[in-house]
Amino acid sequence: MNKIYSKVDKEKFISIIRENQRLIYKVCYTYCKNGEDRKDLEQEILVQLWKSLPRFDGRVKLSTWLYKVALNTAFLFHRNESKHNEHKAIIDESVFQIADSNPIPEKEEVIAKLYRFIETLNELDKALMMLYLDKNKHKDIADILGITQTNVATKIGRIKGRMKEYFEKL
Amino acid sequence: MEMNEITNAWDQYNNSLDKNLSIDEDKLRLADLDKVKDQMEYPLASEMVELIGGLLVIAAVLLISLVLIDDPKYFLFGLITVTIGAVYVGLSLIKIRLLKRVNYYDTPIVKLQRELAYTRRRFLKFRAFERLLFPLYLLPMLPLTSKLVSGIDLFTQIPLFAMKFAGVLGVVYLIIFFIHKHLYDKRFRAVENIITRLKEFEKE
Repeated sequence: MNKIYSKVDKEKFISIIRENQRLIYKVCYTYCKNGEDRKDLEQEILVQLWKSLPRFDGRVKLSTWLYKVALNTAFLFHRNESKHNEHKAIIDESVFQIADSNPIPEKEEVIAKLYRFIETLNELDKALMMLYLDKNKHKDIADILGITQTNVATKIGRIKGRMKEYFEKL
Repeated sequence: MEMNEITNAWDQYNNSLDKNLSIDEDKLRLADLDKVKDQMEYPLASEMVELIGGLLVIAAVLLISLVLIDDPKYFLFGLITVTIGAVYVGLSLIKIRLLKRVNYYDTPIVKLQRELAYTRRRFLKFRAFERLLFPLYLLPMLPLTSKLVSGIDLFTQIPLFAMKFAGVLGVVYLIIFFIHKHLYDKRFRAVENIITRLKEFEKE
């Protein structure tokens, strides 16, 4: 296996997180509504990425791999909610910062509605929706989720239909 | 609202995040990420503790059996306990192997979730078997510990042995029934639900 990050240094890791901060932030926001849980999930994802980065072999795009790790972590986190308190926080506060001078992006009306719609989806459809909105190719979505491209297209079609209905009702 | 309006809004949201979102790099630099046990390590750690516990019990019972080796009855009971203990250890080893086999990192989501759900289902079945086996594990220990701790030979006091046997059996099975009804069934149903949802998701 061609391990391109066989020995990851902290600065390299930080630069990867910096470049993909939006992705991690949105996974946390999609899967945790509560701020405290979101902080815990964020830490869990950072730890997973840190520990698994040496195994990244470059066969897929870094962002595809990051989605897999972040979403898998979010799924497990979601199911093990009762165990969160056992988790010892090593980072007291969120590492993500939103510039004070700007409004919180999620408060923007359409985005707030969109997040409310995503909230109604099951955990797998949430991932699919996020990957679709982030303009990932069907092939990449299929690779991340582990389903066929045809299935991805069918499911996206169905979710779009539900979304249209949801927005029409509002 | 049209689909393209929604996707445009999401694009703007992404742009807004790019402009306004930043990470506190110093916090990341200072954080010792190696020190944190991630959530995926808990089941493995718990199985390791069970394995070590099982081995310690086997060692202790073997020691007691050797102390009481002159009496074949006690030695036989010790042997039964050790055999059942070995089954527990074997099951722990299987579970550890199953957990180590899971690739948590870059496995596609549905595949990993399915693997985890099936592993969890097997674990729950193992647990149910372990609980049913537990009284058989505990009971041969009664005369052994009784002889060693208080010097009482339960084989010469059959009514007392029967009373203790029935008492232990009653309490243990009551606990087993409670665990099964309130924890096992609920967890098993939850795993089955996950498996069903995953199967549905995989259908086109």
